[in-house]
Amino acid sequence: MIIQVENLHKHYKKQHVLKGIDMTVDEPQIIALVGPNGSGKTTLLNCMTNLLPFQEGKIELLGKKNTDISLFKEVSYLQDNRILYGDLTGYDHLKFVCSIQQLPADRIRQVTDRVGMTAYMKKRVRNYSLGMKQHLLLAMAILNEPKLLLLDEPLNGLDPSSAITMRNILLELHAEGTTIFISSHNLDEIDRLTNTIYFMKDGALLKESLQDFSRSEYTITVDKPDRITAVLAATDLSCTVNEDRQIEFLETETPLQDVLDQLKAAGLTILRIDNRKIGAERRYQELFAEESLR
Amino acid sequence: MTLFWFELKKLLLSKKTLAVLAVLAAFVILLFVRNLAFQAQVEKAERQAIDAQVRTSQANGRTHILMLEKDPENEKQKELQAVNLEIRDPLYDLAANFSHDKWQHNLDVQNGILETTLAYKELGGESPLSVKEIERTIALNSEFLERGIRPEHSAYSIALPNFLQQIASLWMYGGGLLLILLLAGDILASEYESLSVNLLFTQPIRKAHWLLSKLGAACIAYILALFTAMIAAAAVSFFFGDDGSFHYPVLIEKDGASEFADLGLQLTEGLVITSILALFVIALILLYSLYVKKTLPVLAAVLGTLGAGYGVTKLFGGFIPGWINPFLNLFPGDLLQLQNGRTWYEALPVTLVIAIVLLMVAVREVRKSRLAS
Repeated sequence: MIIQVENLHKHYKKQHVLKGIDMTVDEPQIIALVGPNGSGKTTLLNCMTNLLPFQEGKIELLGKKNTDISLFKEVSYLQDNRILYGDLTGYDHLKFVCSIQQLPADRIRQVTDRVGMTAYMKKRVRNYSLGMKQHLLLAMAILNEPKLLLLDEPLNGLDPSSAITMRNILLELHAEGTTIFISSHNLDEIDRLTNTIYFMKDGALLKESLQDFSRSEYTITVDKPDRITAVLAATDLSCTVNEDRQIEFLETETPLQDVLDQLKAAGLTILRIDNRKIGAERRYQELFAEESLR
Repeated sequence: MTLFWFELKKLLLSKKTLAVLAVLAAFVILLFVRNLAFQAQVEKAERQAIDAQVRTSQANGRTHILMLEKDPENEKQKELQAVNLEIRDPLYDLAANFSHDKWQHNLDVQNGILETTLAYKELGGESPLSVKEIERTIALNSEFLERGIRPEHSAYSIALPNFLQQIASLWMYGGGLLLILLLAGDILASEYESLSVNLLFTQPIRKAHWLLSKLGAACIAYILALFTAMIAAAAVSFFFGDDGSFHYPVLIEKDGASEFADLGLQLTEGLVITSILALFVIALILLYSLYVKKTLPVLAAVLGTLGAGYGVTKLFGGFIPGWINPFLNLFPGDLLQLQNGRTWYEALPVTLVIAIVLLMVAVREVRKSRLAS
């Protein structure tokens, strides 16, 4: 078992922050944890890594109790960048983790090359940009080639290219067999990373929200947009026409090939096909409509 | 050791530590420059002191003349007048031929004058100096002559040992503690405040090792600050000051009698007292940090504890045996100079034991410690 959380309850004074969380992950995968601010995502991660105590329940990671410090030889936790020491260099941080983890020194170079930070290793962390700090945190987290990597908002404040680099590294790590448990607000990036999403609301995990809501949405642009409405009306396809007179449909409702066949038969030429996964965002809107309105 | 070196590096490479050490070195150098600049004033002050003695003697002489004009047969006044003249003549000689370099001659003459002044006071004559002061000054002057060491000005000396003692005194009277609070006051609490503690708590590190590494780093920071002050003081006085001697006599009171101790020994003993006290303060900082987890309240709690200890010792020190009162070390000057029925190291064992107990409690607490929330 990679992650086993049973009936986890956490209280801050009178506030019930985690309300009986149950979660089981038994094979390497990427799992996202999504929820509005204050829903308990970071608290859950902090409880899982024994940074915070909890009142009731049980947590095991990789078959070990979360209080076992040897766990951190195989589990890494990428946290808020405030954990870094501004007066030390990036290399100082990595050397420390490397020594504590008893890893060979050449591992540092491998990791900095991978995250693209080799050139900045002698710079003090206080002079790093936000993206550089996030990449250093990632380098520190993957130094020990963890079997389980927990990440708390790793994409916060990253520019698009940094976010793409981070995403690609996470996908590579997953391909290498690392289980990735990521908490994020960036639903678009989550969609690109995984179909397995846990939604958190008011300290509870919404179990019905797993996998089955994730969908692909297609947008097709044709050469004679003024004819689209008439062509579609003559078919039984479940498609809509947007303001730019493009055809939009969900893959689960309307097979792509059927749409293409119908358009071809009507003599329209396909200029462009765009595909977008919309699962996380749409499901989030459904689940957290009240929060969105506030 | 990895953890210790990491903690040490964090502490020593921090902007704050470097700034504190630079300011400390600059302060020592500036103090020496001040002493150097006041050397001419020191000689002038010595001359003024002789002039003051001359004026006192002249005033006494005028009083005796007036009294004898009223009562020419007053034998006591005649005797006082004669003794006063025995004081005044060598004083005139000293004032006329005063040279800072002829210190042995000066001390010889001074002692002669002081002995005559004692006789003058015994006859009922007036002098601004008390008998005790005169006796102590005579003894100290004799000790200087016996040891062949030139006396130095207590506040403006540029001799290496005396300048070191001046720095050590500042260190003992609050300077060392202030630096410990500046350098190590936030050593633990800031980790909780900045959340950097989370980095350490999510590594395969034993929390007790982490705490002991902090202790080691704080002790090294204290030693480094002490060395910075002492090396800066030794360097400037070595290159720009006088040689002096570590056998320089320091007058102390031991079991009711006056004794002389070597300045070098006093300096060492003073720094030992302050260093043990520093360990006690570091233990307090570490323990309070685990409970409070915020730097300013930790500093307030440590200062509060020391202030309370200071107050209790000041008010009720006479009723509390020294060997159970760690706060006695807040008064190193008294411990070193007034050794009546007690030794200077009397309160050191209890201070050390309490520091160790505080650290043991801190180790137990840190094992349970988690993120501040």
